[in-house]
Amino acid sequence: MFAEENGLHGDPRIKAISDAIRVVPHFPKPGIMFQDITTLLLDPKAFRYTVDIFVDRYRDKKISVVAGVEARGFIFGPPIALAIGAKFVPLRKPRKLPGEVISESYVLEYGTDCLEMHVGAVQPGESVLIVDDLVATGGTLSAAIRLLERVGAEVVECACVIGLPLVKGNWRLNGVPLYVLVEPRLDDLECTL
Amino acid sequence: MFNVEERGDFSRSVFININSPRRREHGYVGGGGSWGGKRKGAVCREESNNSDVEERCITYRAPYVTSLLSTLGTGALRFNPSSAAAVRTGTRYSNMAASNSDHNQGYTVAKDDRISRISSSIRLIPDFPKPGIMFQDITTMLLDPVAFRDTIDLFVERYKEKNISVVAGVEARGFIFGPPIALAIGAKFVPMRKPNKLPGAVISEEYSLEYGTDIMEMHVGAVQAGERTLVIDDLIATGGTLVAAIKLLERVGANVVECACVIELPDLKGRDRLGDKPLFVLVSSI
Repeated sequence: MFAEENGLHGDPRIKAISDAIRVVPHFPKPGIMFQDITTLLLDPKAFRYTVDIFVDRYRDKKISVVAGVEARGFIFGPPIALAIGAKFVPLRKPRKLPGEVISESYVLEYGTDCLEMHVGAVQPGESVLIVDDLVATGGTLSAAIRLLERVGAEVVECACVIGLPLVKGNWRLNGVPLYVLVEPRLDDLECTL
Repeated sequence: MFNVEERGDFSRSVFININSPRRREHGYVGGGGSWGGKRKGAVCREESNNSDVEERCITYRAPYVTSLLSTLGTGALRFNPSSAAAVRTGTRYSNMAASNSDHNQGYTVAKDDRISRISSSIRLIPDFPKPGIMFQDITTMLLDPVAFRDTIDLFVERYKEKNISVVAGVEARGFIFGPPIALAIGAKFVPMRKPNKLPGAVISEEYSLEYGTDIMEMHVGAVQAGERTLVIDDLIATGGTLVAAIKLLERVGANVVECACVIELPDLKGRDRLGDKPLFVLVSSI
């Protein structure tokens, strides 16, 4: 669901966050309007708003784990984890995590990729929030959900700064609700670096 | 001999089971060690406040230890190394304060009661990413919300009144520590990334690895000339990565005030490569 439709209607922070995101056309390839959150990180107030909105939503939900997807999930996940007193668990590309891991592969437009998590990082029954900067096809987040469910955790929600429902009106991914602050912009007129 | 106890709980590392009051204080099961009393050179948490005495506390976190430092005095134990990991290891935190001598200028290892919990929460993985390397795994620290919170607090306390306007974090583990610090001190966060990840105009710096080279990139326009900047990474080894980050920032005229890492591997002399740039670390690991 969009934050605006879920308790934050008219909240000026949402517009500040959206305006701080830069759209880079044709990256990484022609036709893609890349939603660049690095400009959000250059605006300390807007970055603070982003984290605050998530923290306000999740602080009383007894979440014990925040799982962040490499690499931009590492930027938003830890501040949320720290504020709500949860563990932070990085979900990484293959061969980055030392020691014992479990892997989950997922489909890309061309080929497949793989997400890994440390064995023992999450216990069965723990309530988990998954964080990434953006949800597009949902492939990465689905793999993340599968990884966590394989170790018996309960994924409470997926939280992203930017996204769209995968199908109009459908805000669930493998049955897990999706919470998004802003939708992707198609133009780059509102924000310049 | 002593017992090496492997904890089922992921959030603890493999510990050598010694009879240390410091361990009991942290809730780890102690006792059973055959050391017979406190080792010479061991520091209890209570003693770490003796600022005049350079005492060292050795924490052993690896499952394989080939020898113990001779500073331990009586009771030093040895056993034959397995072929898997013949690496001397341990973590030393000492009362080393910033030195004003010429060759050591601006080098600080933090001294604080919170350090022992942070240090203990870091897991050592032998032979990763390749044989002979003892990998310092900070993910176990991230599983201990108190240790993670303390880590960030130690950096924030140091930098919050220093007019730092930019925190630059090196991909990927610098992305975990940099943003919470940036948020707390009101600075921008600037990611320093591997090639082809940042969209739009970037500047690049090539740097040496043990075998071959790598490239680090930063966005054009992210940092303005004269901005006071901090560079953050989880660990400094040879210093090559941090040097590349410093170079990128200085190319745009930024003022790199300090480099800050959770862990330093002093034997690799990374701080010497930083030249006149000060280095601040929480844990110095041999």
